[in-house]
Formats: sequence, structure tokens, C-alpha cells
Amino acid sequence: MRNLSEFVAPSKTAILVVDVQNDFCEPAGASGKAGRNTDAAMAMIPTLQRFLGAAREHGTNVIFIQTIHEPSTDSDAWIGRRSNPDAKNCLKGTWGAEFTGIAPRDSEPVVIKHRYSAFVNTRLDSVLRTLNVENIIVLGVATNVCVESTARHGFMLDYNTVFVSDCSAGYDQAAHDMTLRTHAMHFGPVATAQEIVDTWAATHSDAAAV
Amino acid sequence: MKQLAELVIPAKSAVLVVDVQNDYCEPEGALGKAGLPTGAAMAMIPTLQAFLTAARAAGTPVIFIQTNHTPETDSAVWSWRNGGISSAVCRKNTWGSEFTGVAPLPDEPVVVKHRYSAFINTRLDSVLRTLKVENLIMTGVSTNVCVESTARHGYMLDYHIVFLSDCTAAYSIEEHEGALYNMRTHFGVVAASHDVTAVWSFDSGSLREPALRI
Repeated sequence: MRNLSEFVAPSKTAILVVDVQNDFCEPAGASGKAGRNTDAAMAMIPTLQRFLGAAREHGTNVIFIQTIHEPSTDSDAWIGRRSNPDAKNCLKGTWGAEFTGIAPRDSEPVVIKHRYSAFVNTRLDSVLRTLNVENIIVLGVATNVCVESTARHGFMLDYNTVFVSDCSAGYDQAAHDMTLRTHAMHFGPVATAQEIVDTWAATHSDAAAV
Repeated sequence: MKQLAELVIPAKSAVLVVDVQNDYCEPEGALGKAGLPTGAAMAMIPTLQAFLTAARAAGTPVIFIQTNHTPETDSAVWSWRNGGISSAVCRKNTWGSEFTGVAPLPDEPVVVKHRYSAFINTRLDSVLRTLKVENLIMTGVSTNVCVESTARHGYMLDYHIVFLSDCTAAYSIEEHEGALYNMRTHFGVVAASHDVTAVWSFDSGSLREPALRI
């Protein structure tokens, strides 16, 4: 088994920030108003902010994944899964679709998606290939839905996939924990933000020492 | 073999308007300024406008395909070709990437693409599946590059292809005719726009009550 340092080398790695948007994180967003507990999502955000700061210092690519729903992709299968088809979230041009507590810099790509996995009929694979990315570091909300779907899909497209345990959050602790367990067993490393930052720092020090 | 009438049923079809954008069509656009003759593209636009009006009247969905190039998809392979000309056109939020002589209505989807085929890493297949589309009516520029790449890809994803000879244009007649040859020989049906609008007007006429025909 390879060391974590081989999976997070900045020049070959991109962080995918999945769905950190008001409708999924804020108590006043669609999920919060529907009765889901958004405390874990809101509590994770300061850790995510520090992690993104460190990633930018070390030159690791940051890519924002933003869910946007609109009628042209609201298929029967997609809408029909919910008991209340009117319970829509992340509609184009709304406050609910905006990022929560974080924002892309001018040079940081935003990839719009309309299903759980950020790879389904989006330009994400083109962006990653353009950047010569081999490793993805996935995080965001909800751990067991969009982050996990994206992580699974990315691994099966041959990206090494690292899951950040404390920069992801769901609405249910047991579901969050099960995602991490499944990922670690079948898809790739699970690490804390600090473990990855320490790896970047150590690699950087080694390089400086040479 | 299915007849044209079956391949353009409004409830099961969509018109794809591919890359009708200033950089590909206008003499002042990037390709025009690079010396490519855009006369055929400009000359085709009134026919396309009339066809889109007929499609909307018949209730056939119209989907606009818009090329937008940005640094994050300017891969080395893509940029290498032709000294970078493909990545130098239709930059996001420029005049060159705006539509030429056509515009989506508020409820008509725009699908943004960054390669020749409008299916490559875009939401197009999701949009078509949402609309329950089975047939694609192809229009736009250039006939043998983005329209043909999209039509080939669509056929291989199991969509029927109707390719409009007079609502597409290329930078030479040979390229245009070559694409039509490939389409009719291996991918689908090549038709003139009036062949399709004739089907639509006949069908809508036959549905009317006799009293309303007077």
C-alpha cells in the first residue's frame, strides 16, 4: 500500500469541494428547512476554510463543484425519487445555490453538476485531464450522497481518491461513518485535513532540504 | 427504414443548434478574421431562423449548443492542434461566443460544450433524456466539424439523426458535401428544412377540426 504522500502531491492533485452550498449547509436552506440537521455541515466549514488556505499555499488545485437544478435536467427519475417533488434545491440563480463560507478564486474552476456524482454529464473529467491531475481529494456535503458518489465515480475513472473525514459532513453521523469505512476498505485513503497538510509540509521541507 | 415523418415527431425530437456563434459565422469573428470564408454560414442563417420558428410552432424542443473555451479545459492536446486556433475562439463571455442571428427563448436549454462533440463531458445527454428525446435534428456550423462530430456521437448513443442540408454550413462546399455524404451513408437521414416543416404543417393541419380549416 502506498503512502499518503503519493496521493496528494500538489502538481498531480486536485481538491474537489462538493456542494458546499446554502441549500445543503445553512439551517435556512432547503435541506435545513426540510428538517435535516445541518449542524455537522456548518461545524465543518471552518476546518474546510483552513484546509483550502493550506492547499492554495502548497499549490494544490482547488475545484468547486456546484449543483444547479433547472427544468431541462429535472427528469422523471430524478424528481420522482422524492416523496415531495416540489421540494427543490439549488435552483439556478437562487441564494440556495450559492457557496457557504467559501468562494472560488478567479483562477479556480467551478464545475456545474445536476446529479449526485460530479462526473455525470459534466466537464469535470476534461478539467482534471487538462490539469494533468492523477489524484483527487474529495470533501464537502453530504458525505454519503454527493461526496461519496463523486469519490466512487472518480476512483472508477482511475483517479486515486482521498476522502477528507473532517471536511465532509452529512445529516446523520452513522451514515457519515459508514461512508468513510466503505471508502477506506474499497476506494482509497481516508485522512484528516491535518494529516494531509502535514504531508504537504513534510514533502515541502524535504524538497527544500535537497 | 423509418420514414422522415417518424423521425421528426415533435414529442420525441429535438432540434440541436450547434455553434451558431459570432466567432464561427461573422466575417469579424475569429475564423473570419483568420481568413476562413464565412459566407455560407451567414447565408444559411435566415433559413435556420425560419426553421426554428416552424419548430417552435410545431412544439419541437430547440436546444442551443454553445462552445465556451476556458483555461481549465484548454488541455495540451486540444490547444496543440492548429497552433491553438480551437482554444483561441469562443472564449467565455466574449462577443465571439455570442449567438449569431438566433437566440434561445427563456425556456430553451443552452448546453455549453468545450470540444467538437456536444456530448463530450456536457449535460446534453441528461437534457435529452429528461425531454424523452429519441431523434436529433441537426443544424449549425461547421457542417463537417462540430455538427458532424455531434451527429456521429448522438447516433452512437442511439439517437436517430436527421441532418439538415440547408441549416448547416461549412467553410467550403467540399467539406459541407462530404459531411452530408457521410451522414446519409452511415448515420441517418439528410433532409432539407422544408421537408421537415412540410411534415409538421401536414400533421398539425390533419389534426385540426374541419370547421377550423375554413
